[in-house]
This record gives sequence, C-alpha cells and structure tokens, in this order.
Amino acid sequence: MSKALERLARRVESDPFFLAAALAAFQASARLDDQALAVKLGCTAEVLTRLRLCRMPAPTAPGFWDDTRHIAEHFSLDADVLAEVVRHGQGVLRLRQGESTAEAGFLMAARDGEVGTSQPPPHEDPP
Amino acid sequence: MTAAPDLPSDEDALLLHARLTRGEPTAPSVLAVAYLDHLIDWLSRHNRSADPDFCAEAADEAIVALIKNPASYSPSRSTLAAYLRMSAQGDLRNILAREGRHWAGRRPLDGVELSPHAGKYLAEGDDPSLPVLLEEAAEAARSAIPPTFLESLNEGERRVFDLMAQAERRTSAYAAALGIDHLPAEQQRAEVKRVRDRLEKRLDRAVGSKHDEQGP
Repeated sequence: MSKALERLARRVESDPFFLAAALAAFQASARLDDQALAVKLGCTAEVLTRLRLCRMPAPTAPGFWDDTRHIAEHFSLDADVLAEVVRHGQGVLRLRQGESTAEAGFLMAARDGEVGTSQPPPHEDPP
Repeated sequence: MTAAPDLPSDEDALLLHARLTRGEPTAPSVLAVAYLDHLIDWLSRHNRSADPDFCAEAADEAIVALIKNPASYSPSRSTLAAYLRMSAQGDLRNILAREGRHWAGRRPLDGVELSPHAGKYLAEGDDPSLPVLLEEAAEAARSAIPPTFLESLNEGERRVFDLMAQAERRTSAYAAALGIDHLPAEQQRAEVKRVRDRLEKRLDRAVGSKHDEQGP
C-alpha cells in the first residue's frame, strides 16, 4: 500500500467532503482501531485506505443509499454493514457540529428503505 | 511495497474526470490511487532542492483541489496528468512562499542568509523559479539575524547555513559543502550534525542577545 495514499487518507479525515471523516468518527465512537474497522467492514487495510478517499455519501435518502450501494459494490463490501457504519459516523459528525438533539432521531428515521433487507430495521438507541 | 500502477490512458482519464464531475462517490478514490504517487515522484524529480514533505503536501493539495472542483480542469487544454502536474507545481510554490513568511515571523533557529549563488545547489530539471522562492524566503529571515553572527562564520559554516536555509536534508550535500565528502558515511553524518548543532546554538545565543538589546 502506498504510504502517500495512507497519508492522504489520514489527512482528509478532518474534511467532511470525504468518507474518511465519517469512518474516523465511527471509529472514535465505537473505539475501534484500523484493524478492527477493517474486520467489521470485511475488507483489507488497503481497501480501507481507498474507502477513506471516497466522497462522503449524501446525508439523506435516496442519495445516501445510492452512494452507499455504489461504494459497497466497487469494493465488494456488505452494503448493509457499510451503511450502518457510515450513518453512525455521519450522526457523530452532526452532533459534533452542534446540531439540535431533536435531530438525533434521524438515526432511527433514516432506517426506512434499508438496503437489501425486508426485515424490520433493528432497534438502535440514539447517540 | 507494491509498484505504482501505470497512469490511465488519456481516454480513461477523460472518463474518470466525467465520473468526478457527476459526483460519483468512488471517483475521488480512483483518481488519488491513479495519480498521487506519480505526481509526488514528478514533483520530487523536478524540484530536487525542495523538502520531500513539501512535494507530497503539494501533490495532496492538487489532487484534493481537483476532486472538489473538477470543473477547474478543461480537457480541451491539456491532459489530466499535465493539468495535475501544473497544479501541483503551483501548490509547491505557494507552500514554499508560506514557509518563507513563516520564517520571517518566528525566531529563526534555522534561519540563514542565502548565498548569492542560490542556484548552484539545484539539480538539472528543477523548477527555475525555486532559487527565487528560496532567496525570498531567506531574505525574509535575514533581518532577524544579527550581522555579527553572520560575520563570525567561516566559509564552510556559511555554506552549511545556505543549505539549512534551503531545507536541504541530504547529508551528502552538507558533507560536500564542508569538504568532508571523502570521509566514510558515518563520519560525514557525525561531523555534519556537529556543525549544524553548533551553528544552531550560536544562532540561538545571537538572536537571544539581539532580543535582549531591543527590550520587551
């Protein structure tokens, strides 16, 4: 794996334009290191670096699901798992930005139209 | 370590640019993977006197700038690779200029007067504007250095200071400046470090004295 790519992927963790920001927020919230995050996503460290450099998925449906599916297919990831991680990370980022607590429920509301399942969405406590 | 992939063909580059423009979420990643290492390599080869970290930073900035504003590139004017090289070279100039302003605004531990022969340490193929940028950076720091300090340096020490001002990292360059490049590598390293450490301490004392004279 290119050291330069790894460095760039780290650098853009502070830039909400990139998926790296949501992944870093999720890692911090879930207290996962890079290896654990890669295991959760079902990818290698190299793929994780490339994943970080993707554009952040749109914050709301349907763009969120379209983007997440696109990314998952590109890297052969489980779209549901990726969506869960990204949504969690985006939620953490919003909270850090000082959004109103009323919006914390979006984590549950955004479960409508979950990718690839016909089961009811699992319960998730708002952060 | 895996080898960098070959650059995309011009046709593939155009397709990638179109994907960026459409906002495809994976396009930024594909662009970075395809061009970053080549860009850093190109900058380093064409700016041998520049700090390698600055070259990497410039390449990062060029890649990110294109990702965020794909419309900045016009396919009719150049290839994507050529555009990125030009963009990164401009970013490198800005970084060097920023470093010059930084030196001017701080107590210079590594500040130094650049010799009139600023271009002599450039390698063939370097950006010809680099000596000017480095000279400007050194000029910005010059006013903070007591003249008595500069006058106290012998010829070898002056050359070493020239190199420190250019953020030169190679021991071989310092060894050549001191005339000790015939010695074993380990001895060169030790002597270069000794001279640099001594100069930094002397400069520290000299600048500290200057501040004391000027008062709070």
